[in-house]
Amino acid sequence: MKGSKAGLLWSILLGGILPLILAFILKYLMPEWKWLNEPFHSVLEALGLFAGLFLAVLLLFQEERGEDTSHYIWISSALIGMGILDGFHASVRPGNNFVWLHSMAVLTGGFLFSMMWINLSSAKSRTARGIITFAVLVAVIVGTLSLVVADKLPAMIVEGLFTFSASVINVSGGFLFVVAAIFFLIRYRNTARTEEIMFVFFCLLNGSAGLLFPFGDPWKAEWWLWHLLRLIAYFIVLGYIFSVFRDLTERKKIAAELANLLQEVKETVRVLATSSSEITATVAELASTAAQAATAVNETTTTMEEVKQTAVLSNQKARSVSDSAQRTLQVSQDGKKSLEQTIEGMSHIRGQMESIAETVVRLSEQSQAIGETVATVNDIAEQSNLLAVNAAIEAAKAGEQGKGFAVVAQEIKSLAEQSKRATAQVRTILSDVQKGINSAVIVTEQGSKAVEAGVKQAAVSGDAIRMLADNIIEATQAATQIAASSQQQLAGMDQVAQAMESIQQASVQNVAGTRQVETAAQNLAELGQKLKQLLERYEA
Amino acid sequence: MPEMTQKEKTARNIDWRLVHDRIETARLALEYGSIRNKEEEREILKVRARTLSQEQKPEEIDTGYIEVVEFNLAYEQYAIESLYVREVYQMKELTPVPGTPSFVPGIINVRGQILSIIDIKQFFDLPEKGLTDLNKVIIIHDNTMEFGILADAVLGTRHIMFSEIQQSLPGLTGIRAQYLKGVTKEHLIILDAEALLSDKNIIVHEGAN
Repeated sequence: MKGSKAGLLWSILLGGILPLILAFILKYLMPEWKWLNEPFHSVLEALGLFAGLFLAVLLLFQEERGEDTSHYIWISSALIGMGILDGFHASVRPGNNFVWLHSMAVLTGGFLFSMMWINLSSAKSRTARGIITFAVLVAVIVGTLSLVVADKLPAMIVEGLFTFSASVINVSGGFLFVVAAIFFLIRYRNTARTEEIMFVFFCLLNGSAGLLFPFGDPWKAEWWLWHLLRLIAYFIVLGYIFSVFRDLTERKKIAAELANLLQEVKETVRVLATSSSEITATVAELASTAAQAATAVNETTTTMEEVKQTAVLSNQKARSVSDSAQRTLQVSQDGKKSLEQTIEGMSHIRGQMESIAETVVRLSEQSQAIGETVATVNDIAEQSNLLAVNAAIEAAKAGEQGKGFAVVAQEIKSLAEQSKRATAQVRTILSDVQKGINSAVIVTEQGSKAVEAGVKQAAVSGDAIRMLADNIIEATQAATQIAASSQQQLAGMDQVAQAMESIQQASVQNVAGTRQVETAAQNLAELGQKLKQLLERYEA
Repeated sequence: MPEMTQKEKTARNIDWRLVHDRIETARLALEYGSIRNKEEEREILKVRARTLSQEQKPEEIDTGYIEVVEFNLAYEQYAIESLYVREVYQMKELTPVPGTPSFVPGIINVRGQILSIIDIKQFFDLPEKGLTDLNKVIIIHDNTMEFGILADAVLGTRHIMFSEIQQSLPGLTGIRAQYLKGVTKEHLIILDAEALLSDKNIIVHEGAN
């Protein structure tokens, strides 16, 4: 049982018991009060007519709600039929057909309401239209006939009191209304909708009015009460249904928007699914790339370490080159000094050579003088020899007395010959001396030339050594610079190594982060898939 | 020269002290004469004494010799009898005389006396054997004639035994044979001074002059 007992009780109380109590109270409090006012009654009935018609139209439109609303056709047709007959009832003067039309209206309404028990499962377009048209036609025909053949109608009111037939009709109608109310009660128990309660209230009110008809008199207080209550019921139900209708239109609008939204969401989800799968693929690629990058960074770090060691080695080499260049510079400067000394010594030797040459030349001249002297001596010896010969000749001429003289002459001649031999020896020696001098001169000349060449060579060597020294200075500077720059290089290498360390750490983090992103993307893709499936299920 | 350089090379380390010693010795020798050569001098004197003592023996034989002046001419040894030799003279200036035969190279001035000079090499048509000194003049004379003969060197006087002289010489022909007295075993050619002095050829030339 869904519907609350309180609602049920309240509807029964308001629709059945309270009106009954009010009617009895009014009947016994004001039994003589009578207010005959046709226009007011007509207005009330007309208002009831319009309210009923409006309610019927609203209910017909309620069919679109898609819920179990097949019974609305019966409600609508009942309201229309009842309304039309009430309209006729309102438009006639009080009289027999006046009551008749009202009674017919109650009967029609009760009948059509009670028809709800017949389930019209497929009661849509055609059947519905048929029922409504039938109800309209019946109401109009009954109304028209009532007007046309008013005399032929059974007596409804005699001397201000309702007849038995009138009471039967009305009680039947009321009974049918109560049956309808039971239908609504059952529905309420199943659906617990306020609407059902409203209709219970409406039907009970009408049923009560129909059932109590025989006890009432026209124009009296309770009579007016029933009219008023019916009208109030009309308007309460109308108001509620109208509000429901409005809610419905609102809901329809919202549903349309929701459908749009759903469509958009579907589109978005589709995009999301595609994107997430793309992201997953990209992230997977990224992850592999990051892993590769990490490997590359690792390798690079190793290479960096090697390069650093090479740099250390080259730094040491550069330093040793610089040191050896310094030593070489010292050596080259020493070489330069000693070469200068050599050049000095060479020029000294050249001077001595010149003095030797001069001495030798002088010696040659002196030996020439000796030669001349020797020639003179030789000449003298020659002449002495001749003189000795002449003396010998003279001695021979002198005969025996010249013998001693001849011996002396012979002796002189011998001496002269010895002198000549000695001079010849001296000449030979002088010749040797001359040869020696010549050799000495030549050797000295050669020596002088050699010294000259040596001086030149030494000068060339000096230039070479000077250039060498310059080059070595440059080389030393270059080596120093190399050492300095290799030191800087080493420092830079350290920094690069540190940077590589950071990069490595970052890449490791990168890889981890990429893994996380990958997981997240996969989750996202799964989520998208799930959303898609959900939406598909919703659509289905 | 290469020998010298080799020597230089081999004697690279010169012992200067030794050199100085040697030079000092030479200097002393020059200044104080042949101090060291006393023994050598003695040796020389001994040799000389020996030769002198040896030569004294042949001089004892006086019989059958002639006295000659020995001289060199064109790498041959000649001799001429001292009897006809006035003196030997060192020629200083030779004045050529135009128009004279080729064997008369010129005239000389000996202490104011003008003498004509004869080149017996030319006169005898001897073959030329290169240039020689020809600066000695042997002046020969007799009662009629006086002239000089050119010689390369005057060796001196000596005695020649008659027994040593070979009269005829098969190699000598023509003109030369007239002026030869003989030849010794040592190929010493002994000129006939008398024949030269009395030669008509020379006189004729003189006369023609």
